[in-house]
Amino acid sequence: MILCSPTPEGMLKAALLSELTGLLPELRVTNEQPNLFSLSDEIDIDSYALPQLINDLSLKTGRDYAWISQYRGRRLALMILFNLRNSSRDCAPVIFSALAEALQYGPSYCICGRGRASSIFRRRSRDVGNEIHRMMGLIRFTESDDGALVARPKLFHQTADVLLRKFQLRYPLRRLVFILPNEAICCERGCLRRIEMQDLPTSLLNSTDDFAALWETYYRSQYIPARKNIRLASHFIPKKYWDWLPEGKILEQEAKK
Amino acid sequence: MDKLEKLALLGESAKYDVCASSSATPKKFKNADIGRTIPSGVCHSFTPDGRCVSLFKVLLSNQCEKDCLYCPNRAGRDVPRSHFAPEELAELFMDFYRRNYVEGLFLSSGVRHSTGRTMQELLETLEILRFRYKFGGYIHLKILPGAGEAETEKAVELANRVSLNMEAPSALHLARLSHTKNFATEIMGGMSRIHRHILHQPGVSHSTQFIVGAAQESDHDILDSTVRLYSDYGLKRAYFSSFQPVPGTPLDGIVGAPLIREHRLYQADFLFRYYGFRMDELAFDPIGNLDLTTDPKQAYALQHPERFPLEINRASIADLLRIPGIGPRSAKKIFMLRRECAFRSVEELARIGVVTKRALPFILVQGKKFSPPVSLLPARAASSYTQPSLWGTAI
Repeated sequence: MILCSPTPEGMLKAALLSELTGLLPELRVTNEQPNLFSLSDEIDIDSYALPQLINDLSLKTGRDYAWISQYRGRRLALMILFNLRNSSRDCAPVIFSALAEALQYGPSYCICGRGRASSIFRRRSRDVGNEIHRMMGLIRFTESDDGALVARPKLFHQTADVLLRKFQLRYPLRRLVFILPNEAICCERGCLRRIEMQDLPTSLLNSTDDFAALWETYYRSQYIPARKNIRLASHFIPKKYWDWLPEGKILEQEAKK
Repeated sequence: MDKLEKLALLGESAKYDVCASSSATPKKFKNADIGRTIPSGVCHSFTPDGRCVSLFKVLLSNQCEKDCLYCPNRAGRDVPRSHFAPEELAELFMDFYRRNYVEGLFLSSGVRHSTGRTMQELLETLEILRFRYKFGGYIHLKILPGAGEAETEKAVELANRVSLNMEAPSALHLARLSHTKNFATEIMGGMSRIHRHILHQPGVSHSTQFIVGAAQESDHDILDSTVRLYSDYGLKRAYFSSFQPVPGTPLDGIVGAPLIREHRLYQADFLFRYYGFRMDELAFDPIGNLDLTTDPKQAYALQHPERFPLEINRASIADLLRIPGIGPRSAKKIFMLRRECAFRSVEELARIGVVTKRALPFILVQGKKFSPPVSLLPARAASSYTQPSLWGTAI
């Protein structure tokens, strides 16, 4: 068995070695490193170099794998990263199956989701990408007493850190805080920091402002009843977000009418 | 009037401007304290009508000297009037932006006192945002018809996008909608001024909007005008707003245009912008309207059975783009993928995003056909929509 760390490079190397040896790749679940006295036949992929694996596989199959270190390889690595952040439990088998298809039929086959596994791989990657894009719009901040911008995002995948980094570009001089169900993440001048819930200052924890009324007034003013199309609105803002967004209750009222 | 009441009134007055895009190149205003533009637009909410709320869309004032027959803010209409002071509006917008409720500002205004004075106030608002708040995000500014050279130049300097509403495709049609707007000098002259200044400001674009179905114009008139604006005036995007009668205006009594007409115009517009279609390739009925029951690309394909079916593994990108159900992204993917491995099944096409239900009658996969020939497809029923008339006789 080939053990790899949950990183795009580690998984790519494991997939290459799997093609070379026929052994099954698997994600390492703990940080424990294999030692001299371990009695299993596990291979630690972290000790292998990517260029060497590419070279060995090229010699074995006669195919060109130079794309791995080029644009399409980087795109594939990003998709692996997004799959790892997807909340699905079976992310590793899907990633390895998709990588096997990429190595057999070419990178575009996998990137465009043409194969069976690649199609799931691509869809999950898009789900994470869509959450990031959607949340850039739907997350709303409140200003705390010390000037930090605080939000309580509703996330279904592990995207908090990516979102904070993107928001930092928008608000470069502000401290940003996400309060998640079990912890808080703070971003200041590009540096991310986890904060345990019990250590979170009350000024951040209780941060609220009365801006919602202003927003609700503006939101209502933009609605044209003659064009009502709740189906379209709920396509863009799925119902799972309605209880979290301030305008969710307006959408719900309109849906019931 | 307090802030909340003003916001409700001036927000509502701006809602008929359909432009909601916030995408812009991130080149302008790099060293800002707050805000940035991104190439892909972000939507911050959607109203129950399914329209995106991306920009803080508001009028500086709903007082107006113009008498446009369709407009809720027209002179003489009995509605409450109000206006924001530039500082007040800038501060309110920053409150929204700081909390991430909006992606940028869409600022327009009724003509209060005079075009020049109103333009000055609009520009003052932008200057406060850019220089006092050091705002580097997206701003879309409406240029008022009749704005001068210097005002247009300043607007192009400060905004990421400027726009001037055409409203109607020709002088004849505009005369049916407004007695105080001059098509040649105020509209086309303004377009020309914007185009001239935009050439010197990379990263700034301009757009326009047409009202559909209020001036007895045909789809052909609108699209023909749009195509000319794209080619001669460097227009980035045209928006179409289906006419909905506003109570208390002279056009209150006439029937609004169906939303599907607006949708078909957008589809046709996309065919010009992304699919390489030409005006003469679209199918219009004898009075110049698109078929409301069929999308324009499907109508084109049904009218040209001699061009189909096309072999998916050999067709050029231009030909792929003419197949219903295949968009620019899918065409690019097919082109890229078939170099690595030929397509063998319809399922493979479906997985990469081709709408196979629409595409099947027009394609072959490795010489195999999966649907009856195009000539045997059932013909669509003719459109039952006729354009409402202002003068009692429908076209």
